[in-house]
This record gives sequence, structure tokens and C-alpha cells, in this order.
Amino acid sequence: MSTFKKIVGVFRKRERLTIAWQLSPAMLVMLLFILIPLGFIAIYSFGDMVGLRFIPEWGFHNYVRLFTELDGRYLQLLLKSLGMSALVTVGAIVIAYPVAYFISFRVEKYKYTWLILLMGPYLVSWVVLIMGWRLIIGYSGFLNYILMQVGLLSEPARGTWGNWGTVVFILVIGWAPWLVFPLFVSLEKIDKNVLEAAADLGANPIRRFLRITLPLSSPGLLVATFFILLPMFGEFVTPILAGGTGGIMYGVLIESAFLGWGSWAFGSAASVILMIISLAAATALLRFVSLERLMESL
Amino acid sequence: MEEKDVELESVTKKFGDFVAVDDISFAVKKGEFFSLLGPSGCGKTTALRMIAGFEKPTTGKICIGGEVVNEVPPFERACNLFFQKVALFPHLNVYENIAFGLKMQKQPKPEIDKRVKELLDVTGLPGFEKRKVKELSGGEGQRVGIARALARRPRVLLLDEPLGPLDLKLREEMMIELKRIQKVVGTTFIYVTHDQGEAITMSDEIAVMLKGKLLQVGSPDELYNKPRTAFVAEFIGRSNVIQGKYHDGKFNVDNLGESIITGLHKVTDEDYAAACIKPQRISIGENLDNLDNIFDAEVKEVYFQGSQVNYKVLMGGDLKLSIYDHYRGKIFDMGQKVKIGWRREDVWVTDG
Repeated sequence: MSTFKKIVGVFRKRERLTIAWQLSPAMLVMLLFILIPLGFIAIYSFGDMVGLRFIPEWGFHNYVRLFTELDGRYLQLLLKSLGMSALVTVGAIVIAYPVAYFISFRVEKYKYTWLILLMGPYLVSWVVLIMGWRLIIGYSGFLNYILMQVGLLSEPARGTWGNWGTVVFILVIGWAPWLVFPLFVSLEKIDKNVLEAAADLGANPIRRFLRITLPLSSPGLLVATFFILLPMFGEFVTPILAGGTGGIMYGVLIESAFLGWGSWAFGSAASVILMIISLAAATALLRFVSLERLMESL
Repeated sequence: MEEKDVELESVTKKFGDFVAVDDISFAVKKGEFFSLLGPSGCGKTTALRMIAGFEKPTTGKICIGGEVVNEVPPFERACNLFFQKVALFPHLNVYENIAFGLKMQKQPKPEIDKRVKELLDVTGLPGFEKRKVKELSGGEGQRVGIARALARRPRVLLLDEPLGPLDLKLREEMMIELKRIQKVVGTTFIYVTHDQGEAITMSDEIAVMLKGKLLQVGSPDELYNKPRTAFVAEFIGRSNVIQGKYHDGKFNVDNLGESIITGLHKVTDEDYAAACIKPQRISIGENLDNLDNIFDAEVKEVYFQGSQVNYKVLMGGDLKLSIYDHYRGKIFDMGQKVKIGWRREDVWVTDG
């Protein structure tokens, strides 16, 4: 018996080696194109700059600057950005979930046509989309124009554009259709018989939703959160175009460190902090739903 | 009078122009194992779903425990449904599945614990509380499904082809198990199936349906021996059904020449009658005596099955009959000319 097990063990190992070997080209590509740039950023974050020239003087000075300079404003900016990201995530899911639910549970024919329609907004560039909203809710936009024409306002309102609320609003609206997809997939996976069983066992519609539909769609919720929360941490286009000074986000800091001030070392340090936060967030999210269940449901 | 748990009065259900259930009425007595039997598309599942409350009858009345429940939503009815695809909650364990209905009733935890344990004992799954749904075998899943459906002590348990997805051996096991559980808990079962074997094995009463209509309600014995229509005779007893005219103990078939001698029977229309003869009641041989009906026939097909030999024979009037013969060391060959015969008591005449 034990020899048999050993033989099987050897074969198992072989199998694993083969799998590793087959995976390696893909792994190599990933290493080359993702991990290496990230590694460079990590290394640069411990260096220093003289003017626009990088010098290898290693230390934690960039991190110290990040946490102490300007009375900790960078840190405040980071926290504010995380808060805005969370807000965008919640907002977009709250909008996307009912849409996904409607398509999955109520639409009987042409489900996929509905889904394709949701791709509509992504046919145009993100910048164009933001500018489109500026035409509507900007200072001299359509909304202000109409409100003045009907006499509700005597001069254009300023609160609708160029603050953090505008940034959150545009990101929510822009991302919500995209999130319908993972939510739809996990809702479609729910066996409708299971919901009938719950009804039969005395669960009213609200309880059916809370105890059956919602927990069973948790993989979709998780994927949706992944889709939106992690990219949001580094978002910089929307805050630059629609945020004004009040709507600035941490991503803008990284962008200006690299491109504005030319301080690669400082920008790298700021990026490393963001990476650590993203990793921590991803790990925390995976605690809620195991990867296995996630893959099963998609 | 015996207490009726479920009553249907002239219930009709239409989906658009399609009549799924056509004016059916029947009553199910308390504690009975009642089957709705029929081929697929006969309306039996629709009838069951109306009792459960997932469909509303177009016309007619449904009563559970003497009260009209047409307008009562499924979650307030005193019946539970056991689903075709068990439909256990995949994110909950066995305990949570069974306890679901009790939690919805806001029963205290100790009560729930006690009831779940009781049900796991009854269904033969003691100690399964913490198992995940994914880890259950087909038969175990079925048992958990039954336990879950029985948890709230429903007046009636509705079962929709529950044994369909199981393989033959497991199905036979579960048939006995279901009947046993039903006896132990004493709950009224209404069981939907297209399998006459399942219905006959388990039921106290069977209602046979065809194309939305109710053909006959009766005990398995009644349906088997005294079918009221040719369809029931064929479906339940696998009888040979011969269409013809009946008059006063004689049954006439075109081109047969001789009449088939039968006992005295009642039919609605003597010109459209059916004679039903069970395959195992027909004798086959070279010399037959003492039988009321003896005909010449030719063996067309032979299936040797061990203890029994099944023949298909062709006799006069272009009639093709099935015969199940006990194997006594002799098999007739294909093409062989034989005599076949049966007694007059073995013919049951009914509406064609």
C-alpha cells in the first residue's frame, strides 16, 4: 500500500511539474509586463532625485515626506480618496444591482439585447463622457440655463461642477452599467426553483431577497467591487477634468509627481502606498467569499 | 364522513388559449398517499402547482382543510412542495435548510433544534446537521428535501416527480423510503408522476389524467382491474386494448369473424367500446382447452426475459397482442403458428 502511494505521489509531482511548465510562458509574460515595472517603482521609491535626475541614495525619505510634509495633507488626501472610492463603489452597485435584477428576473426575451445596450456608454471615450456631463451640469451648462430660463435661479449655480460630489457622481454613473455584467451573471446562476422553495417555506418577497437572492449573488457583488473599488483608488482623469480643487484625488498626486514635478522617487513612494492598500483591500474582500466559490459562480 | 384535506371543484387552468387543466374535481382524504398520474403534458404538474399556490385556477375552487384557498399566497398555505429538482439552498448547510421554514415562523431555537433532529432521524440522516449541500449524494439530498418540506408540519406535502433524477436502484429504494416516511409522519401526500409503477407501489388512491382531463380516480387495484377507459387500461395495466363493438356479452371486431366472449359489462356507447386483456392472462400453445376464446395466431416477436417470455403475436382482424408467458422450458419461434386463448373473465370491456 505504501509503495503504491509513493508511486502515485511521484506521478502527482510529475503532474504538478508539467502543469507548472505549461503555465510558465504565461507566467513569464505576466512577470515581464506587470511585475517588473512594479518592481522598478518599488526600487525607485527608496531612491532620491536631484532636479530631474535620479540618484541612488537609498532610504525612507520619500515615505517620510509623504506622511509628514504639508501637515499630513497627503495623508488626508489619501484618506479622502479612499472614502470617495468607497462611495463610488457603493453608489454604482446600488444603481447596477436593480438593473441586473430586472434583466435577470423580469425580462423574459432579449435579455442579451438589454445587456448589449448597457455597453452603449463605452462606445465613446471616457473624456468625452465627462465633457458631456459638463455640458449638462457645468457652470454654463444646460441645467443652469433651463433653471434660469424658467426663473428658478437668478444666476448660474456653482455647486454642480468642480467639487468632490461631481467626481463621485460622474464615476458612479459611468461605472454602473459596467457593473451590471458581473451582477447579472451571478443572479442568472440562481436556480429559480430555490426561490420558489423559499416562498413555499413561508418566506415573503423581502425575506426571499435578503436570505436567498442577496447571499447567492455575493460572488457577483464581490467581482463588481473588485471591478470598481481597486481602479478607483488610482483614478485621476475624472478628478482632473471635473473635480476642480475640492475634488482632487490621490491618483492626481501620483500623476503630478511623475509628470508635473518630475519627481519619480516621490511618485513611486506614493504608488507603493497605493499598491499596499489595494492588496490589503483585495485580501480583505476575498475573506468574504472564498476564491473557490467565486470561480464556481462565474 | 372522512375528513378531506384537499378538494378540487371543477378546476380549470388556461394559459392563453391552451387549456392545461380541464374541469377536474377530486378529493384527497386525510393521511392518504394520493398520486396524480399521467404522461408528460397531461396537466398533473399544473394541478399540483395550483394546490401549492404558484398558479391560480382560471375557474373553479381549491380547498385545503375545508377552506377555499384560491386567493391565499403559497407562503401562507398549509401545504409544502417537494421540488422536482430538490432545490436545496446551496449556501446553507443541512440544518439551516431544514430549519428555514421554522425560522420564517420565528419559532424558538430549542424547538427548531428538536424538530430538525427529529426529522433527520425520520429520514434516516442522523448527525447530518453540519453537512454542506454540495457534499450530499442524490439520495441524501432528496431526504433533506423531504425533511425540509415536512419541517413546518404541513397538512399536505406535494411532491412533483421527486424520483425523476435518480437512477433505477436508488429510485426503488426511495419509493419504499417515501412510503415509510409518509406512514411515520401521517401527513397527506399528493404525488405527481408519469411512472405507473411508482404510483401503484406507493399510492392509496390514484387519479389518472390525460390532456388536462381527469379520466379516473381509484385505488391502484381498481385502476388495474377495472379501468374505465382504454387509456387507463393501457397505461396502468399495459393491457392489450382492442377497439370494437360490444353487445350482451359479445365483443365484435371487424374482420375477426368470431366474437370475443366476455362477461357482462357496462359501456357508454356500445358501438365504441374497448376490450382489455392483460398480457399475462393470455395462454399460448399448440393445444388449448377449456378457454372461452381460442384463436389462431402467428408469433411475430419473441423476447426472452428469464422467468418470462414476452411475445407479440398477430391474430385475425389484424390484431397485434402482447403475451407474457411463464417460461417452462419451451419458447415458440418467430413465424410459428400457434393457438392463443383466454377466459371470458379475463376480458374487461370499457369505453373506447
